[in-house]
Amino acid sequence: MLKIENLKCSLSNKTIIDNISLDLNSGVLYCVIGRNGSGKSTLFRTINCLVPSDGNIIYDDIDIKQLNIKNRAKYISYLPQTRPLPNISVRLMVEHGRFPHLGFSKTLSENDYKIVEESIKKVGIENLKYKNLCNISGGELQKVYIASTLAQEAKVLLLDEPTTHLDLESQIDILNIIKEINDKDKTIIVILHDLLQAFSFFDYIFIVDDGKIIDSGKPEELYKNENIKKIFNVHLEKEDKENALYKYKIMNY
Amino acid sequence: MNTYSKSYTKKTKLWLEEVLIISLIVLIALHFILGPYFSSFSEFIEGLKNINNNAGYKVIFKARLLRILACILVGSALSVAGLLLQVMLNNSLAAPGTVGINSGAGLSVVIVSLFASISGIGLTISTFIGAFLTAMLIYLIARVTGASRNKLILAGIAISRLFSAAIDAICYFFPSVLTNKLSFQLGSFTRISMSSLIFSGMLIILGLIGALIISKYLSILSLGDDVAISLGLDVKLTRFLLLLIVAVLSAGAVSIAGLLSFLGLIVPHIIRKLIGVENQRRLVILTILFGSSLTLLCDLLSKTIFMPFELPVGIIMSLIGIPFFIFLLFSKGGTSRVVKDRKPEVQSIE
Repeated sequence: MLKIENLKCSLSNKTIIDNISLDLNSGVLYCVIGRNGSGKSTLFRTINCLVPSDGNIIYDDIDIKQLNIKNRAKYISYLPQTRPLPNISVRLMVEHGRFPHLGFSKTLSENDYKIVEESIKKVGIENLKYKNLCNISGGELQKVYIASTLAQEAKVLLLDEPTTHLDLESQIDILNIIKEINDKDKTIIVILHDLLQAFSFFDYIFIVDDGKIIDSGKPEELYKNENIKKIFNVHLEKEDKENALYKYKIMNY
Repeated sequence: MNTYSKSYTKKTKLWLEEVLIISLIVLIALHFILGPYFSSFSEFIEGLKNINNNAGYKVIFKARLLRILACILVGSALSVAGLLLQVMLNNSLAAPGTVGINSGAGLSVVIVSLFASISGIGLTISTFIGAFLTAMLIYLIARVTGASRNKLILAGIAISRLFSAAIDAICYFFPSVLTNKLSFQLGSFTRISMSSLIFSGMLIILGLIGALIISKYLSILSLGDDVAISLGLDVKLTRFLLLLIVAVLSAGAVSIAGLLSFLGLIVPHIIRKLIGVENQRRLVILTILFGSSLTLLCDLLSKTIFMPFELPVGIIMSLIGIPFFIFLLFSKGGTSRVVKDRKPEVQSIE
């Protein structure tokens, strides 16, 4: 279980994360939604100790902040929204996921190779293995990065907008992969901008605004929430009670 | 047990090693044969035959051999230093010359020369201090200002120009400081001595070993800071060690050949384009081979084009390097690449 207590982060004398506390269970798919600039990405960077912060980040009684960088990587894996595009193969990118588990010689064992193969298979990119990252599509690239985070075998996966800039088919593909890789040993938290996808694919949703969690709950509890209307200027409706499908109406339109 | 990433290196471009090793051997042979004192194969053989009291023998082993070793050491050092900077800053415009590390080493030599005549180990130490302090200045600028990688390159260019102006100013007011200012500023292999080559050579070999050891982290570093840290790499420590190695290599190169430009820019860029950063150790080895070959070629041209007069090798390198630099500025690969269709990453190196 990931326990975040009184997390605060200020950058350039501006409070970005304002006293956030969360209890996150394994096996539950969490989604964070909110406006641009509300502090969603900084929340992820703070949980991954990439920016200085106050408060505690505890995973199963282990203080994540006290761990060194290498050991921290065994607990938390983070896929940022933007990153440089290196001129390397898909296979090497997934292999990099094993980096926190390697010794000084940085040699992969047979077991490491097995985990790399399994990760590649799980996200369905066997056909891309020997391709260069520069020569694959955006959707394929996201799958490669997800395979790499899987190979890392971290307990907590933080995925920052993994569907942004992808076509709809690729978005659904990525969300299905996230659903498939979710198991009882992992805590997966995803930042999304698409409300319908957030409410349809995830088990629990956090609404972030101005560096605070202003509301949270299961999709069926949250869709009528006033904050959805206030922040996103839309009115969410449940279209199909059986299949958890939602639609929205843009307010004042 | 398999070596990390070994089994996935592509079979393509395997001929690169062979081609570069053959070119290196051919260029070394040409360097031994061609030059101002004699310039034919028969004279070269004659020189080799008469070991005692033979001028040709002295030219071969006291001048040309030293010069060949100097070219190989300097070519390797500047090219690998450029490679480390380009991967670290994810920018093809990064090189010891463009970010000011070479100028820092040069300024240090000029300042120390104001107070004492230096050569050998003194020269090597003073270039190292200058290169190291400049590298740390760049590191501090990044840390304090949180400058993006691209801004850091621009800051480096400004530092480079500032230090070059300082060298000019000192040489203007104290002309005796550098007896051969032009050769030093343009870069030249005409005044190679065994004493400077020994200490600088040791420094360069140390730097190259360091580069080979740290090369296994280059590919992870090229993923960007956030991903690299998330994968468990101590980015700050790795970056500090990289800058230290760059300072060691640049200092060794400057103390042998002066302020050679463009080598650290061209060589790593071409090699990275050809093989990527997939196999980091191969990347370093190919950079060493190509850097040595290109330096030998430029030096060969510099000493043979207007024989018996010699051009400083830096002029030949600039003639090749400046068009290449302009090409880089306007080509797609000139700036850092980011994931397609996404906003450019403005990432501080700290």
